[in-house]
Amino acid sequence: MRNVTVAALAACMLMPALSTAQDAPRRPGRPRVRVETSRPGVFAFTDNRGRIGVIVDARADATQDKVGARIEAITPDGPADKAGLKVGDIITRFNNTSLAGASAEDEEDSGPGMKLIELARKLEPGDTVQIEYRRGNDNRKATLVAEDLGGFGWTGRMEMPEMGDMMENVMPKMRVGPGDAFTFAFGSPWGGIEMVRLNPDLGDYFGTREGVLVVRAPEDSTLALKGGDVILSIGGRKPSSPEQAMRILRSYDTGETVTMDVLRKQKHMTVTWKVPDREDRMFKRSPRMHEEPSLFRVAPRLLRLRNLIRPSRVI
Amino acid sequence: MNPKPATLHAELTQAKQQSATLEDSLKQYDIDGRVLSGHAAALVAELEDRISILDGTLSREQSVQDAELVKLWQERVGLMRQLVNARATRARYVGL
Repeated sequence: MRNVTVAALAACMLMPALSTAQDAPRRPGRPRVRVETSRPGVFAFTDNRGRIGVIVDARADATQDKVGARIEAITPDGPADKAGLKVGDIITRFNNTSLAGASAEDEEDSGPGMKLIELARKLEPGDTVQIEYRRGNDNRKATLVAEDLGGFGWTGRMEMPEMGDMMENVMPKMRVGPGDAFTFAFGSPWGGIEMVRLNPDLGDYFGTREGVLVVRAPEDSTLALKGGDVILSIGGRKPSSPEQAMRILRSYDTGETVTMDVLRKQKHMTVTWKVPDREDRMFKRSPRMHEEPSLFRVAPRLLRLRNLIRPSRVI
Repeated sequence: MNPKPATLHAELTQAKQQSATLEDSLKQYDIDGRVLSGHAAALVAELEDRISILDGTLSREQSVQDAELVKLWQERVGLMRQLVNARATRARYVGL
């Protein structure tokens, strides 16, 4: 049983898109899940808590703590990023609660930092947060909307000799030869699609300010999208960008039917598509391409050599 | 032999600086308004989500050992670098 668990974990790590499809990060309404294995140092759990997408400096700093909590990193495309915050900004107030001078139980901890963490942990996805922050000598304000950014991740070292055997077995079945690359894509039928976020000018032309414009239709002929279509919603969820569209699409499992509300020549229509078997959509042999580097395009020989994997991702 | 605390501290500081620099670089390759292939959009989404998950871990791991903290930040730097590359490559491609 343990081996099965480990193999499943390993598969999740080598197949990030598939794993993420099932977990669907940044997707509200996901149930609370806790996954543990018997192996030491391996754990995972997720929650639906709202986050603002920052890492706060939690170390005490006498000068800085008089002002507020300093941001050490911003999660790309998270709420703070969208609101224009940057590394080095100091958050001085959080929903009208002043952080300056807050004290911490441990003298090595930053009082404002810990206070901000405490306040932010109470957020639910969709909660609105008013913050004030200092950048250099400027005092600024911003409004953030908390999001489910994917919850906890699990980290640690895990030795998985089973992986070597598994991939040795899988490779011949895929008929991957020397020099071949293979594409791992949760949606190879989507591979050829090209999309762009609608801007106001495009929106006026196409008759909507929302959605994602299909510039080139996908290769899969079973998917009845056409160039010029505007995808307004996928399963009731509105994509705000091509990336968000792919996040929504990958949340569907094999055999599920995807329903899309599409604007074609300024007329509403519904496009449905049944997600093909994973075998069809997961692996696709391909010649080496000029395209951008992809996590999903892996040189098989590297996989064979990897018996020690150090992952850091949610399961 | 475990690294000395001073060494770990220096490595941690370096990783945080690299992370901040990469965040600045990311702003230069804003992909809003650019045409993205399904692969590119999926790659960017995947990297953003992995960084988001890692950030969730970093923001909660108060008691994590220094050595592990350094590895987590270095991992963030690696993912940020991939994200910058993904955006930069796509931006050049579209600009042709």
